[in-house]
Amino acid sequence: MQSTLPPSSSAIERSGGPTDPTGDEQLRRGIIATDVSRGAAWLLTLLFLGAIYAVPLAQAYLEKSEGEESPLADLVRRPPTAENLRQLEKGIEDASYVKAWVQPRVQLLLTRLGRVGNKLAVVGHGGWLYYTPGVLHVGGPGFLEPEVLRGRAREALDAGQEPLHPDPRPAIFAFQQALAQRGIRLVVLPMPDKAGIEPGPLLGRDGRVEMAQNVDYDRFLSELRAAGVAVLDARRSVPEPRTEPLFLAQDTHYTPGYMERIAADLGQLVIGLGVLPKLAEKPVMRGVPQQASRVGDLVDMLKLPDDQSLFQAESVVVHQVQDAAGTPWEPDESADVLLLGDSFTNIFTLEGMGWGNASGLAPHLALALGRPLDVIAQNDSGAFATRQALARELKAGQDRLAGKRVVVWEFAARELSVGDWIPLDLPTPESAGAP
Amino acid sequence: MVFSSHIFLFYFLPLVLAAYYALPGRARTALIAVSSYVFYGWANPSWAVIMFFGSSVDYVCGLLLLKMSRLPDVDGLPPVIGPEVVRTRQMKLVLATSIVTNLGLLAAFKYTGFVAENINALGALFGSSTQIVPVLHVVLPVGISFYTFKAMSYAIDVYRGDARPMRRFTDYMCFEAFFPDLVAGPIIRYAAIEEQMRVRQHTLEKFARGVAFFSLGMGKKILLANPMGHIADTAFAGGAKHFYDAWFGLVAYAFQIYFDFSGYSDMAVGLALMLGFVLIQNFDSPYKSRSITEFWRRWHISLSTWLRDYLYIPLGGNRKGPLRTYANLMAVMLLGGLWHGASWNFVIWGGIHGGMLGVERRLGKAHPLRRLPPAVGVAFTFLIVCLSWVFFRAKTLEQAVTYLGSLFGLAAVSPAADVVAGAFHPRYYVGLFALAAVVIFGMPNSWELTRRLSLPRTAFVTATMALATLVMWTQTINPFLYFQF
Repeated sequence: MQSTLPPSSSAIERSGGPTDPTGDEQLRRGIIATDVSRGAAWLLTLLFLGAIYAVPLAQAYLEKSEGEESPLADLVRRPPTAENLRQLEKGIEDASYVKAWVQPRVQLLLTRLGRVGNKLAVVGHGGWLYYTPGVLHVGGPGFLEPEVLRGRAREALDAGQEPLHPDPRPAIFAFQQALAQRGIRLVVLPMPDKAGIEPGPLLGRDGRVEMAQNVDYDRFLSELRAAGVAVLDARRSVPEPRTEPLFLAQDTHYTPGYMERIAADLGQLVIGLGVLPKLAEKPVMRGVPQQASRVGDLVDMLKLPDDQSLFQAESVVVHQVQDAAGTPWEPDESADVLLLGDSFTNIFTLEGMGWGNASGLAPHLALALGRPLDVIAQNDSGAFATRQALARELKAGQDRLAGKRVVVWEFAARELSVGDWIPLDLPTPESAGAP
Repeated sequence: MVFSSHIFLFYFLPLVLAAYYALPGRARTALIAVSSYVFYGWANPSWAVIMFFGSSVDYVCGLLLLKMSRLPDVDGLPPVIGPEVVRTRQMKLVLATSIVTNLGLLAAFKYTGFVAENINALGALFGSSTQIVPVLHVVLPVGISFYTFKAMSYAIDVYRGDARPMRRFTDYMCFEAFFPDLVAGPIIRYAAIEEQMRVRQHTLEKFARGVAFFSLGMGKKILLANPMGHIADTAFAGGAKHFYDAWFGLVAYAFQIYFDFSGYSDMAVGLALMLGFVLIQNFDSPYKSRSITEFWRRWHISLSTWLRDYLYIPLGGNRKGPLRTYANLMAVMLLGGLWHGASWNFVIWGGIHGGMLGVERRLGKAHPLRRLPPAVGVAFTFLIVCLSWVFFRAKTLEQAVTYLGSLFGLAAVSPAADVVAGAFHPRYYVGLFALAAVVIFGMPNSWELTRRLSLPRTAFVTATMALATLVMWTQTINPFLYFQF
C-alpha cells in the first residue's frame, strides 16, 4: 500500500514531492546551486537586513527622543477595519522621518534632471507645471461617451465606493429646474483646464499652439444651451492676440488678467439675461492694483524641499476690489446674484491661498455687474460640493436662495471627466417664494 | 499590503523574519499561516474570512479523501493515495465539493455581474426594455483567482495521488495563504510544495539569493514598471492619438506588465527563499520568444503549466487528433483569458493567443518564420503579443478598437491628443523606455543573473535595491497589475 518512503531532508531539495508531476526539479536545483561566495552572501544579507531594520528602529528612537507617539499605537487602539488599517498605513508612512527626508530630495533630483512629476503634477517646459487630472481630462476620451460613463460608474462600484454619477447633464438640468421653480436663472461657467488653454509649455513648443479641449466639450456646451442653460465659454475670453500667459506657470489656476476678462464677460452675460432689476443705489467699487507672490499650488503638490530653488515664487498684479472707503470687497448674502464656485473662485480672494484677497472672480464679477454678490465657494469637488452646501443650508431652514434672480455656477471643466455629479434636491423652505 | 511599500518593507517583513527565525521548526509554519492572514486581511479583513472559509472546505476535503482511502500513516505521515486505491463515488463527490466550492467562490465574486450583464444585453437585443437579471456589483477580493487555482490543485493532487494530504490545519493554512505568492502568484501547485510545508533547509546562500531576487524584483517594479505604467496609463486614458504615440504607449504597457508581474514573481520567490521555501520560475525572458508557443512556455509559467496539467491534458490534450487539439488549445486560452477578468476583452485576448497556438501547431516545421533569422521571429512574436495587449489593457471593447485605429493611423486626431502626449514625453520616461528595452532584449533575466552572485553582481543588486527604495518614497503606492485578477 505504501507508495513512497518519506524523503530525507536532502531529498526534499531535489524533488518537488512524492511524484513531482510538475517537473520543477530543475528550477529548484537552479536555486540550490547558487554560486555565491560566503563573503558576498553575508554582505548582501547584512546590507538588506540592516536597511529594513534600521528604518523602523531609527523611527522608534527619533519618536522617543522627540516625545512623539507612534502611529503604530492605533493598531491596538482602534478596531482593525479596512478603513482604520488604511489610515494606519498612511499614518506610519506620513510620520516616517526617513521618508520625510528622502522623498523631497529625490523628487527634486528627478524633477530637475528628468522633468519628472508625480501623480498630481506634470512637469512641462520652462518651469511650467500642469495638474494631471486636468491634462487627462483634456486629452482623454469624450466624457459624454456612454461607454466612458458606464465605465466610470462601474469602476466606483468595483472599488467598493458609493455609486457614482458620472454624467454631468442630469445634475445640471435638475439644478436648473429647481432654480427655475423659484424664478431663478442658472448660468454655468466651466473653467477650461490649463492644459487646454496653455498647451504650449506642456509640449515644449514655442509660439502659438492651438487650444485644446476634451472632444465632448463643445457638444456638452451645446446641449446645455439647447436646454436653456446660459453658459459662458471661457475660451471666448481669451484675448487675440495673446500678449501674456493666461494661466500661472506653476499653479492650476488662471492669471488675474484672464480671470478679470472672464469676470467681465460673465457680468455681461448675466446682465444680458435681463432679469436683474436696476439698483436704487449702485455700490461704488474700484480695482486697486496690488502685488501678490508665491510658488504655485502645483509646486506644493510636487512636495519638494522647503528650501528648493528650482521653482521661484511667481509674482502677479491683482486688482483688489474696494469700496469708496477703501474697504476690501465682501460677499453679501442679500445680493440677488449667487456665485457657486471652486478654487477658481477662491483664488485671489481667499487669503489662505496666498494670492491676495478680494481680488478674485467674485469681486470682479460684482464689479462687472455693479452690484453686490453672494458667494458659496469651496475648493475641489466643484461637481457637487457647492450645490451640496446650498442644499444643506436650505434643509436647515436658511433660505440662501431667497431674493436671488441668478445663480452662477463655476466649476473646473476637469470635473466633467472625474466629478461625481450627484443630483441634489433643493428643498423649498416655507418662507421662500419666487422673487 | 504591497511588497513595494513602506509598511511591508520596514514593519511587516522585519517582524516576520525576526519571529520566524526565533521560533522552532513547526511553529514557523504556523507563524507563516498567521502572518499571511494578517497580510491578506490588511487590505480588507472580510476577504480573509472568505479565504478562510474556502481553505477550511479544502482542508476537510483532503482529510475525507484520506479517511475514505483507508490507508494507514507511513512513518507518521499521511500516505499518498496511490493508484491501487479505487476512487469511490464518495471520493469523487468530495473532490467535486472542493472544486465546486473554489469555482463557486470565484464565480460569485468575479463572474456574476458579467453573466448578468450579458443576459441583459441579450434580452435587449430581443427587445426587452428592462433588466432581466439584476446586475450585482461585488468587490472582487484581491488575488482570489490565484488562491482558488492553488486550492484546487490541493484536492486534485491528493485525489490523483500526486501528493499526500495534510493533517495539520496550520500546514494547510500556510500552503493556501502563503503570503509571498498569495495575491499574484506564482500559482504553486500543491504537489510541488507539499514537503516543504513540513521540512525546509535554511542556508545563508539561499537567504542571500532570496535577497537578490527580492531586490531585483523591487527594482523592476519601482524603477521600470511604474514609469512604464505612467506612459501606458496616460496613453490609454486618452482618446484617439497619433500612431507614434499609440505605439509608444502600447510598447510601454508591454514593458510595464512584464516588469510588474515578473518583478512581483521575483519578489515572491525571494521572500519564499528567505523563509526557506523554493518556488518555481514564473518568467523566462518571454519577449525573447520566437513564437507564441514559446512565449507561453516563458510567460506566467505557473499559470500555463496549471492550465496544461489541470485543463488541457484532462480535455484530451493533443492525443485525440488535430482538430480536437486545436479546439483544446482554443478552449484553454479562452478560459485563461476569462480567468484574468470577466470581460469580452480578455476573451478576445485569449482567443488571439489560442488562434496563434493553433496556427503554429498546424504549420509546425513549415512555419515560414523558422527559415528567417531569429530576430525576425522575436520581432513578429512581440508584435502579436503587443497587439493582443490592446484588448488586455483597454477598459472596454470600444476603447480597444479606438486604440487599434490609432496604432494604424486610422483615428481622427484632435489637438487634445498632443496634450496627453506632452505628459509622457519627458526625457526621464523616454530614457527609461529605452533602458527597459535593453533590459528585456539584451540582458539575462533574474534567474540567470542571480545564479552566480559575484561581487560586482552583489553590488549591482544592492544598488538596485537602494535606488528602488529611494524612488519608492516619491511614488504613490501602486498596486501590482495582477492584483486585479
